[in-house]
Amino acid sequence: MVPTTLPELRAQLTEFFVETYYVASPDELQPDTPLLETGILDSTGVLELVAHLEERYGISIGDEDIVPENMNSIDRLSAFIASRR
Amino acid sequence: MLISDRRLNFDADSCVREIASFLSTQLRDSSRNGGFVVGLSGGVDSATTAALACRAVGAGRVFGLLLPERHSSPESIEYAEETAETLGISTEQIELTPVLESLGVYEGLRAALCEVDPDYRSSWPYRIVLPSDLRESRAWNVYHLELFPPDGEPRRHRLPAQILRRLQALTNVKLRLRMTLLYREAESRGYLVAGTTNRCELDQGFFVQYGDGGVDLEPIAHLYKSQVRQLALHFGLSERIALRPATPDTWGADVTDDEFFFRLPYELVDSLLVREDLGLDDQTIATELDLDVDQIVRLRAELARRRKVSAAMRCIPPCLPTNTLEEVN
Repeated sequence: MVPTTLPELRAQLTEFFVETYYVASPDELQPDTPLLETGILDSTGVLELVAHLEERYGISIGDEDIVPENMNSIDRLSAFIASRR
Repeated sequence: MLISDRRLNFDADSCVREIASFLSTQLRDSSRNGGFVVGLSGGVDSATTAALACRAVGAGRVFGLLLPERHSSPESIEYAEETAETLGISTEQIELTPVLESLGVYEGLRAALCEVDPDYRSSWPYRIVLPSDLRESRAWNVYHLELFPPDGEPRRHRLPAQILRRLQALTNVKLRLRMTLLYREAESRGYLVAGTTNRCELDQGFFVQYGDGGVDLEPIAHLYKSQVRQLALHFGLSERIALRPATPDTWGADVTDDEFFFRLPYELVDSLLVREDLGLDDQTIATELDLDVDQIVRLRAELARRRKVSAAMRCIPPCLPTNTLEEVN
């Protein structure tokens, strides 16, 4: 079921990151952890993330959306998804 | 005057002497001390490396390998041959296409591209690019595939991650095959393989591990691209080689290193890196380069990120020290 609240989105996104990328310690992945600067996401990982968001949440993400303001933390991703649904 | 940024000014004569001494010493201390093999790509980095090797040990001890494949630009061979002629070095050309075919590289590329665009045909040039100039765009590094049908409009697709990985892995085979052939030649002759990676490429990880990064020594890895170009002219190489836009030259369609990797003009990468090396602060760099502080912060963050993610490429494979073993007897 597609979550509708921000806490649910945060939890699902955290699960996605832990399953998809190697996160050695839960402390490394807080809701405000910058995903690119910490190396959790790289250029290929961004593509994986965008494809996942489009498929799971049924949203269309344009190139102009793939900016740090929307994508660079779980908090920002959650807000971005919520704004698109 | 080629170098317009005063921070990049250098004494070319002194630089050549220093590198020639380095090359000479490295060769003397090596078990393969007959000379140097250089892979001539038709670009300025390999041309300048070959010229430096000639200055260090004489053209008779420098051998050039030309290693084109199906997607190489015809210009590249022409420029590589011109370099060899100018320097007076012997060369051999080995066409990589049959070997890459037998390894399934072209078929793998075709199949991957067809998954992105089912209409794709092997005759279509293609290239992989990043979003536009990092100075103006906050967009992340999302790779796109651009296809150029001979009789139609160009097509553009965002690359799925798994396809990007396959394309990178297959393309890297080309560079690793070149490394293999360079070593075959070098070891057969008792020569060293001289690398052609410049300062920007080394710092930012713009090379392929065990590909163009697989060499015995890197004589120009401390030089910014503009300085490499200046040295090329210093050695009498033609302007079309010295000033040729840097390109991966691997997909059939023209693409520059700026479009594929840096998202900035190479000259600006030079200017940023030299100021970082000098320890200048953001405000000073912004003033000197006529950019906003916000832009400098963003550009430096991207340089730092690339440096960090490529750090492992500049090291030998990690291992534990022997003293971590517990005594069992």
